[in-house]
Amino acid sequence: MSSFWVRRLWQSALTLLIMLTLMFFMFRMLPGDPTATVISPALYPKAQETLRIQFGLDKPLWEQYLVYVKNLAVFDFGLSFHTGRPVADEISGRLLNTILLVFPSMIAAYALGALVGAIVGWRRGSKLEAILVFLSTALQSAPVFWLSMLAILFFSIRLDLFPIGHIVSPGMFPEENWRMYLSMDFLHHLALPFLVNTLYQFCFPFLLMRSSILATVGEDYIELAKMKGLTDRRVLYHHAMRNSLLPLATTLPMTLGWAVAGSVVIETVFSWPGLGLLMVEAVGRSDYPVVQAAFLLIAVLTVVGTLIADLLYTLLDPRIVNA
Amino acid sequence: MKRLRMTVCAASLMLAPLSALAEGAIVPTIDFLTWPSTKYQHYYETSAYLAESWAELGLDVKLNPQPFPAPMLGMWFTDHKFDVVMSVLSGSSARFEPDFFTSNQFVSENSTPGGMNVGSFSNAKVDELTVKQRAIYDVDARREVIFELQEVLQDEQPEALLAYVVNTTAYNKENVSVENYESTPEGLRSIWNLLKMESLDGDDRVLLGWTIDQDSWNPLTFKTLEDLDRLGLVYDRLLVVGPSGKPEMWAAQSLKAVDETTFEVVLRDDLMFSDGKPVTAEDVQFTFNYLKENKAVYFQQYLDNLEDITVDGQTIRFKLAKPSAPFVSAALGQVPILPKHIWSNILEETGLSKPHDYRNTTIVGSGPYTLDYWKEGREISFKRNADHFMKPKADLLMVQFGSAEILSSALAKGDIDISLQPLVPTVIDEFRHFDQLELVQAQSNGYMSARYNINSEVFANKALRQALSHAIPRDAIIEEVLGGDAGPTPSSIVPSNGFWINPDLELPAYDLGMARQILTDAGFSWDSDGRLHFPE
Repeated sequence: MSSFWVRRLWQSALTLLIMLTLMFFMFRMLPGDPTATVISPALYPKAQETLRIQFGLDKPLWEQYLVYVKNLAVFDFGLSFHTGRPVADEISGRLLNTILLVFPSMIAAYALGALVGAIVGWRRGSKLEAILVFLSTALQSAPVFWLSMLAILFFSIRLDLFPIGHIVSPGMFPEENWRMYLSMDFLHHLALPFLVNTLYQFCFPFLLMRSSILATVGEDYIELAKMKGLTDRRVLYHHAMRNSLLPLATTLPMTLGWAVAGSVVIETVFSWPGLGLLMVEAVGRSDYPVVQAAFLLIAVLTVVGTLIADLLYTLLDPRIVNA
Repeated sequence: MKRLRMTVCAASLMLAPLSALAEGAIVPTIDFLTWPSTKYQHYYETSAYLAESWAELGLDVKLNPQPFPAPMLGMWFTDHKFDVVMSVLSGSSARFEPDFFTSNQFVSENSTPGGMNVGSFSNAKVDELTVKQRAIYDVDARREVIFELQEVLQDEQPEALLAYVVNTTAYNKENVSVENYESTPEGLRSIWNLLKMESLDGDDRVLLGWTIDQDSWNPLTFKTLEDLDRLGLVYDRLLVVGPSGKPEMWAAQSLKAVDETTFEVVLRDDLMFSDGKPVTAEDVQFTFNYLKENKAVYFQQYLDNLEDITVDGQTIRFKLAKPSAPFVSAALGQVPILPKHIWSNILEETGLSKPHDYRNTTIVGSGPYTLDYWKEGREISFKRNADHFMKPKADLLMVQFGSAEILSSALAKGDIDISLQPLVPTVIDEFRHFDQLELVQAQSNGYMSARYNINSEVFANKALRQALSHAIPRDAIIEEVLGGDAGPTPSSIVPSNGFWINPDLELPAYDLGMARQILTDAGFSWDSDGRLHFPE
């Protein structure tokens, strides 16, 4: 492995350590007794004591921190303050639901954004371009909870095309196994949040692709391709687009963590039992172990995504490592 | 204009002789601990309304909003750092037990940090009546003492009683019938209403929407009343507090006091656990000992007083360390009867190191429902136990929602039959126009008050406290701040607790003139700035 990669790995590990340290202390920097948010001072005093010992909150903060880091090293995320169950169980139960919602819509948004962005960029100055640029920026700037609510109001309530939320119809799949995820019912429930999320994520890849394409117009190799007598389409798809994909391919993995974090709002509105909804609940009741683990997961996704982006870059454009 | 100015001049001249009378020390600024205005606007506004009214009596009140829960809860319950605190206590059927909102809050011994007597109120008569009522197990005889206790408290005014809260929920009457709905603090989610729910669309199943999921099914670790309510569907309890606040026999046939610290319960003989084994007196004995030994978070406060428990046939004899009539509702009325044959060897069966880690999601209970399945964050399915003596009418499917707004839309659309979530005022107005929806009210037995700290020199003065009972702008608070979803109460035992509230108590009138008169009679005076001074 080259020294470039060794350095990148070290940097990533350091980023994560700083991140989890900051997170640990920030949550506990509330004024007054930090345990008061976890164990209500209105609870029977002896019961408060029992809980304090159970969660290790009777120990000084630095000791709690050392225990936390030590346990993390063996992938033990501790117990949820709220349910008393291992955090790993709580999160793994929800993660798949989030992945199934977020990743496909990210990929769809990038595929669609790239294609539409390329066409629009290629036909610079068209009316379609003006409309799409306006629409996509408007969508991106609108609060996603508002978009989701509007979508539910219009498509679910007014038109009755989609369910009002949830992952499957109530009472349909008590077993919650793979059969549930392969059912039409699941897809029917997935459709609306998927569409909203795709539309919401569409803006960034769309604008990125459009400007990359704009930059290629007038490049020598494009002129050459045109002079060779290739059709306009062929020039666009085989020459301009291929070269413009680079920034897109590298930003996609970097935004994975961001996409999971962004699921918070959409999952709450659509009652989607994923990580985002769990995070909202956990923050609301100061369930630090759950919140920390969820944030850490997002941080890991972001850091790993950045590493993948670097890797892709070196593959797509080897000049990076040699430079 | 000129005339007005002259009148003002004349008035201040007339006041001048009064200021000469103000010779006692000035009443210091009052520190009013309250809720943050952004997130708990109506609590904050309520305290602001009250402070404004007190200001008219010449008191200088400084609102002190603090973030909730920390540090506000700590200042309120542990450090008692306030002259007066905006107290909001939530209701539940278990809190119908009259001790909870009276003695428990006002007896001297509970003024230690973490105790419910946050204002360090102390009164010999209250302490005496507390001892007395706690030793009477006959509810009718005990009620007389509770009535007297409420009279003493009304005279003493340890807090300014503001309002109790009303929650409105709704159900779809085309799909579900709830015959003779009972207005309990829990409303539709009270066991008394759940048992009556009947499905009209032929599938014998009722869909109930809520935003609160179960945290724990383990009786040792759960903390919330919501968790306990759902445990109460799958487990039987010896008694259950009824809709009017009076404890009703449930798994017990009868309850008899032997002496002040001993009573006997006779268990029904027709109860079966869901695995086919009968419920025995040994199961009851085991349960109470087990929860006590393992320091069950929720029950520890009640079971500390349990000294011994013995069994003879179907009779169970409870021996307490000190007399406690509240033990009946609080412990017998809440503790779920566990099967000994399951819990006595769960550690061997599961290989866990402590019973607190047991998830208990395949529940063996004897209650009116069985837990069919629980899908976290999604749904909880209860099947009715057709053999149970309470004869539940339908299966229940509780569906989890991420937001209250979407839940109400789902009810309006017909996706769910019942909202367990209280509705917000705008939705209530909208739902009045829906023919298929029936709106129902749940009167909470929790209430809002301004709780005085008796250690503060201001509120140590009884006459001042009495005067302030006439300075509560109740109607304005209820209508303008709480949107009409509230009601006035003359006692900390609120009107929904029909069995225990003293019906002879009257609401102190909102009359600042009367308040000034009481203060004047007690020797208080006002200076030229209108500030109140203590008697000399």
